[in-house]
This record gives sequence, C-alpha cells and structure tokens, in this order.
Amino acid sequence: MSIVKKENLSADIYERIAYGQDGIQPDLEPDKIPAVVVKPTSAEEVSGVVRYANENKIPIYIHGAGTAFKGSSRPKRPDSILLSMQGLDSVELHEEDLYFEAGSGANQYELEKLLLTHGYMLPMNVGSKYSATIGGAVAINTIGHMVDICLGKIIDHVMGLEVVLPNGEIIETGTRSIRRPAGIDYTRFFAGTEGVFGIITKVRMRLVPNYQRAYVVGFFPELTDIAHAFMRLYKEKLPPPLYGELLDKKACIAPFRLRELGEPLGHMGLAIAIGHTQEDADQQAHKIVRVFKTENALEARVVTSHKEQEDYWAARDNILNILQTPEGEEKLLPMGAVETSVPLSHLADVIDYFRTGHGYSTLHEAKLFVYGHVGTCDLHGLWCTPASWPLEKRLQCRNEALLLENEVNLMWGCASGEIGQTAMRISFLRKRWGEAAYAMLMNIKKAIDPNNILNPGNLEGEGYDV
Amino acid sequence: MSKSLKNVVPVPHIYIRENVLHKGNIAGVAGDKTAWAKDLNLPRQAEHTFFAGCGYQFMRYVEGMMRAAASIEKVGLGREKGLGISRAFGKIGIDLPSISAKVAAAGREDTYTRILGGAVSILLKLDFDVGYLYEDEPCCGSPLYYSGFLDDYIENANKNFSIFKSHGIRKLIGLIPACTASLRDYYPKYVEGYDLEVYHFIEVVAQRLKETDIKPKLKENVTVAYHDPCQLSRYLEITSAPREVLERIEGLELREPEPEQCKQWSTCCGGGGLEAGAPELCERLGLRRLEELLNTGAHVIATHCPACVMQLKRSAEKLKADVKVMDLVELLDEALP
Amino acid sequence: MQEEILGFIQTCINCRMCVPMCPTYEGWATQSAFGRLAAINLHLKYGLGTEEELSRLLFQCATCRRCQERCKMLSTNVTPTDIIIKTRQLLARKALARERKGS
Repeated sequence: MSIVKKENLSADIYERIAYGQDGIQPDLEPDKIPAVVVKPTSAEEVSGVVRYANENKIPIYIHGAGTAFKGSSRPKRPDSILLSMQGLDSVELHEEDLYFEAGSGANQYELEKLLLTHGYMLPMNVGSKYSATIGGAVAINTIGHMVDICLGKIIDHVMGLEVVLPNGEIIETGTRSIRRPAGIDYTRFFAGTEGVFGIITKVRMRLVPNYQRAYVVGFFPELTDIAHAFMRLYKEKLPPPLYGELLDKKACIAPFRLRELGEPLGHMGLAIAIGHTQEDADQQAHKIVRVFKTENALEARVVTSHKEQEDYWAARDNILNILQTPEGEEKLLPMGAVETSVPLSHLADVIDYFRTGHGYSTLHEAKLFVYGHVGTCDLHGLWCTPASWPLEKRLQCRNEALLLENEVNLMWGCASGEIGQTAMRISFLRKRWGEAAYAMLMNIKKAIDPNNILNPGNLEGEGYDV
Repeated sequence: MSKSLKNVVPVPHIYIRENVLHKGNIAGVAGDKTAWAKDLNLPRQAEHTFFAGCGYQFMRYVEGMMRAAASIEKVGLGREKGLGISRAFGKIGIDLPSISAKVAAAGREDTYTRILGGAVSILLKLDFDVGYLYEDEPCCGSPLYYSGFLDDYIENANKNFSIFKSHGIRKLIGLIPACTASLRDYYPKYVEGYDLEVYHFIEVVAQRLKETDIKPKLKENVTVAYHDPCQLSRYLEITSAPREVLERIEGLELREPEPEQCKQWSTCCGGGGLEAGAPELCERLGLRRLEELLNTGAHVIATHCPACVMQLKRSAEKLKADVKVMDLVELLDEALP
Repeated sequence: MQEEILGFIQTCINCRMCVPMCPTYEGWATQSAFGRLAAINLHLKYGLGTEEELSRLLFQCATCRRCQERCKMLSTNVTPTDIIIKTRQLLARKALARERKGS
C-alpha cells in the first residue's frame, strides 16, 4: 500500500497479535488476528486506507489504544485492517476562542497534563487514561469516574469533529463558537456512536478551567449507607460533586496495603467537591462530611494532606490492584463485570441485588467486589474467579454477569453509563429499547456504511452468545 | 555451537556465558580483577565482606570490546563475525578481546577501578570492619540469569555459596546493584539453606551516616542530578538512601528529573545488557535518558552502577554535552574527611 | 516453566498502562511489556511466530522493570519483566536440550 509510509504499517505477526488483543479475557482467537496494523499520521492517509478497504470490502477495526472493556475493539471478522489512530496525536490550544483541537489518537493523560499546565482541566477521567485516547472517549461519549450532572458528559464539551466517512470522504462538523448549533449538528452522528458511522480523526473541545478541589473520605459500616449518603446529598439539593466514589471494604484491602494506608475501617466513600475558589470547594466538602455522618459514617473528614489525597484516590482509581493476591494464594481473574447506571432512589436496591438478589450460581461462587461512581449513580460489580476454574466455567461467569447487568438495567429502566452499548451489550440494547429502534439503527448503518467495513460485527453482537 | 542456541539467544550473550563459566568474569579477560585492592591489604575474613563484582574492573574492557566490535561492524564484517574472529583467536591462545580492549582503553584514565577503591575508603572512614575475598571472589553469575541460562546460573550460585561458606562469610556488602540484587533476591530461591545477609553499599552507608554527625563537604559547590539505576531502584528498591547521602553533602545541590522519571520510575539508560542484543536501540535509550538528565540543568550527573556510568558517559560524549558523569562514590569519598 | 509463564500472563488484562513506561517504546505495541506478553502467550499456546522472532522481541527488552513497577502500582501485578526473563530461560533451555539430543 502506498497510502501510508512503510514505517507506519506492520504485518509482523506479533504486532498484529498485540493490536488485536483487547482489554478483556479471553485470548484473541488466532483466526481473528488482523492482517495488518496501520498507523496513519494524517486524515488524508486515514481516508486513503478507508477508500481502499471500502473498494475491497475489507473490515476495519478502529483503535485508540484498544482498551475498551466490552469487546468493541476486538476484531470480529478475519483478515481485517487494524487501524490505530495513535499517529494522530497533535494538540493545539486556541485560548482566545476557548477551545483546543486534538488528534483523536492523543493520549488522555498527556492531554490532561498539558491542559493543567495552562490552568485548564480535561473534563473526563477514566482509570485507563494512561493508555486511552481522546478519540476513543468521544466515540463512546464517556467521562469515566466524573459525575455527569456536575460538568456534563464529554459530548457536552465537543464543539466539532473531523471525521472520515466509510466511503473515504473527510468531513468537518460543528462550530468554533462556545455556543454550539441548535438543531442538526453532524457532530452527534459520530460522537458517541462507537466508530460505526465514521472514523473521528480530530476533536475540537472547549477549554474547561481547572477548579479548586476538596477531598472527602468516609468509612461506613454498611455498603448501602454510602448509597443513602448520596441519595441524601441530592435530596438536600447540594451541588453535584465532581466525583462520588464507593469502594467496598474487601476491595480496599489490597490497594490500602500497597499504599500503606492501614486496614480500612469500613466501606469507603469518597467525594471530590469543586469550587471556583478553595473556600467554595471546602464549604461544599464540609457539607458532604455532614451528610456522610448523618448516614452512619464511622469516620468522615475533609482530607487536606496532598499525599493522603493522592493515596485514597489511587486506592479507588487503581481498582485492578484488588486482583493482586499475596504469593502462594491462588490467582484471581476478573471474569464477570457489571456496570450499570441506575435511578437515584434505587442505588441501595441495586447493591443488594448484586450481592444476594440474583440467582446466578457462578456469581455466588465467585468473589464479588462492589465499587463505582455512586455520585453519578453508576455501580460496578466485579466477580473474580480463581484462575484454576476451567475456561468454560469462567466464561459462564462472564455471561452470567452480562445477564445480571441486563436484568438490572431492564428492571430499573436504565443502561450502562460508562463504556458503551455495542459488541457484548447488543443483546441488551435490543431488549431495552426494542426491535423497532434496533432495526432503525441497522438501517442507518446500512445507509452510511453499505459495505459494513467500520467495526463490523459490533452492531450485530457477533461473538457473544448472551 | 549449533544454530539452535544462536536463534534464541543473541551471540554476544552466548560469549558472555562462556566468559563467566570458563574465565570467571563477564569480559573473559584473563586478567586480575583484584588489582584495585592490591595495596589495601584487606583481611579475607571480617564482619562485612565487600563484594566488588566484575562490573567496575571490566567496564573498560567491555567498553573497549564494544568499540572494537562497533568498528569491525563499520568495516562491514558484522558484530557477530567480529566476536567470532576473537573466539577463533582465543582457541589458539591469543586473548584478542583483552588485547584489543587494552589497546582501545589505552591512554584513557581508568575511571572505574578508582570507584572500587573509593567505596572501600568510604566504608573504612565510616568504621566498618571490611574484608574482601580477592581472587576467591566468584562472579555472581547474573548475566547468565538474564540471558536465559538458568541452569548454569543455579549451578554457579550453589558453587558460590559453598565458596562463601568455606570462608566463613555471613554478611555481604555489594556495590554493583545487579550483583547485589542477584545475591540478595535470587540466590535464596535457588540455593538450599542460603543464609547470607546481603546489603547494598548505599543503604549501609546512609544508615551509618545517620548515626554519626559527620559533615561531608565538597571543596566547590556542584549541582547534581541523580540517575536511579534500574537495578538499584526497582530490583533492590533503594531510592531514599542515595538521596539521603547526597543531601547530606554540603556544597551539593540535588536537582531531580520529572517525578515520573526518577526514583522508582527512573527511565532506564539502556546500559544494562541491552547493547548485546540491540545496539542501536541501546544507544537511543542512552541519549534519551541523558536529555532528561540534562533538562535538570545540573552540571554533574551522579549515578551508582558501572553500566549506567559507562552508558551515560558515552551518551554525553556523543551529544558533546557539557556535563560530568560520575559515580556517587566519587562524590562521597571526596567529601568525607 | 511454560505453565508458570502462561499462568502469570493470564492475569494480564491488557490494560496497556505499561506501554508508555517502556524505555524501548517507539510507537509499536511489541515495544512494550504488553506486546511482548501477548506475543509470548499466543506463541506458546498456538505456535504463532517463530522462536527466533520471539527471541528478538524478548532481547529488545532492557529488563528495567519500569513496566513491572507500573503494573504493581496501577494494575494487576503481572510481573511482566520477570515473565520476559523466564521466557528467555525457557527458550534457551529448549535450545540447549535440542543441542544435547543432536550431539
């Protein structure tokens, strides 16, 4: 291919394996290893690749970093092109118009650091930010840990995009004004549609000034106390914090040990209040402490030591630490993962359902960790199985967790709010919003991408039998 | 050697294995690795036994060997061929690496063995009861471990333990981070009944300094950037001790690189064994790390590992950087009364 | 030894947080612990790629443990550096065994 330079493409077997492997179990199947990995460095090159693929009906799987957790980054069809956007990583600030433009492959952590040096913040925070890209975040419309109703989801900050359509055409969407178009704005066809309608090559986002922060930590006897605390916070019409986190006592143990924070007193609730000034932030934080204490907190306080702030946050953020078992003990694998955003009044009900309300046998046998962004009504359950369980049983655990997630979302009329709805979640999508809507979605896809070259299999739910 | 082994281990590593197993040191130089301690008259048995290792004494030979290999490569013979030729000479009794290395090293100050003398001098100044095994000191064998020759490593480790035991050794103070990490963390896994106490030089020195009120002082003020060697910061997990020592020295201003480039996150300089398998990559790592250290604005780069010293020195020469690369030992020895 | 290696790799969830930490990373996934582990995994399980190609990747690792530190603090503590070294040992052992059989 003379569409990209030789150094931006690789047919090496190990390169192809690495890029094809996504962020979850199990191993990439050998027949799904991409045929080639391509890393364009400009929108024109992306366009060339897409045109070629479209003419020859070759599947393209689009990667930021490939860290998606629900199967959307894994190739579903053989002999595909793995298109990595990491070569498009430029960043340009336009402070005079209050926006910045970034290549979709720009790394989130690097972007965050850069913005901070200029007094701005990146209005999103996922645990995988060290590897993930801004393009991936915009394609899924996620802000990770942050509370949606505090600053908005990422799409609320996206002013415009540069996109390559499935026929190779490059289009620009949106505006350079901080007031975005009312009515039809092509940005919304691509932001949040998980790479099935077009490939985002550049993102224009408003510059959000960095707020002052105040940290609150509380330890509770019951996990549902934390749910009640946040329910009370909103009942009292307090401003939404930037973060509201929950970590069950079991899940605190390993991260606390790693950071020398001692034994957790109880289940941990964490909140970060923001304000224009430190006084504003502190004022909010003290109100949250009062709320925590009202809901049975054994201890609740504003954390002022910088190191403690970092440590408690890291203990919650680096959730994968919980999988570190001491030497000699059997290794645990994260098999069942649930992520569900529930109605505020049912936060406690859902926690109970995770723990005891369901009838799934492997989930009851596995080790459950409950954690999540309780401040934005988003709860996670992670069911970890011993590594010695046979693959079938582990896959059963994964499937049961998916079924549980579907049940919760259907029972309480909600959906997952963090990692998207395609691939593993298609069966839920169809049940939740019905077949008519799904037929509409598939028709739109057929119209925009008639050869089905962009992330094929993701809208069909291929490879997932649940 | 059959094609089979060459396919899975880079040729220079295979040579190093032979050097370690048959000549007792990494460079295969049939020389005396104890010359640096000749006039020190250290006892063989003492409370602490200083483990000098091979690195400092043979760095100049390794440097010379690599330069010779690089120039053979320039002539178009290929690095492996160059080393193959030297092996052929070796078979008939001509120690070509040693000769070419000596030639390449000729005329340049032997900076490395000075460091060993400096380390012992520091221990003595701090009243440690120090011994040295002289020609009985074995090679720790860690290059075998990293190159993939585990079984040879285990055999060597067990043999070494017998040697230590036969001399009544109980406590070792190692200077080379890789050797010390190997003796402290790997030997217990592979040697039954291993009961030696292994410390790294800088941790005992930092501890002893804290117990005294000695005020080390440099004649002239210097700004120093400290490069944490990978083996010291992430294998031995020692990052505070070197800083405690450096900060104790009057006249020394410590300048740290970015937080994600120092201490346990210190960026690797590439000096530790990467050259053999990937020489161009190794060079790039060295240059990148040197840039990070130069960005601190310090005039001296201090580190604590012979491979790092060699690699950073070479990188500084390549970049023609106005900076002095030293081992921390040199600074401390100069500053201690 | 192969069982041990695969057992550790199983705990890698491919979060890729080790990638920016690797001093040898210059833009391609195999220049990182994540890429090297994925290669080892499928090579040992399905025989993909050759021992020679795998070995080349493994010896481009500086064994600096920066990835291991990152994995320990932020992720599942797969001990990637140790696995890369163990795999070097596995390949060398196999080659030496073949040599002995041959002679």
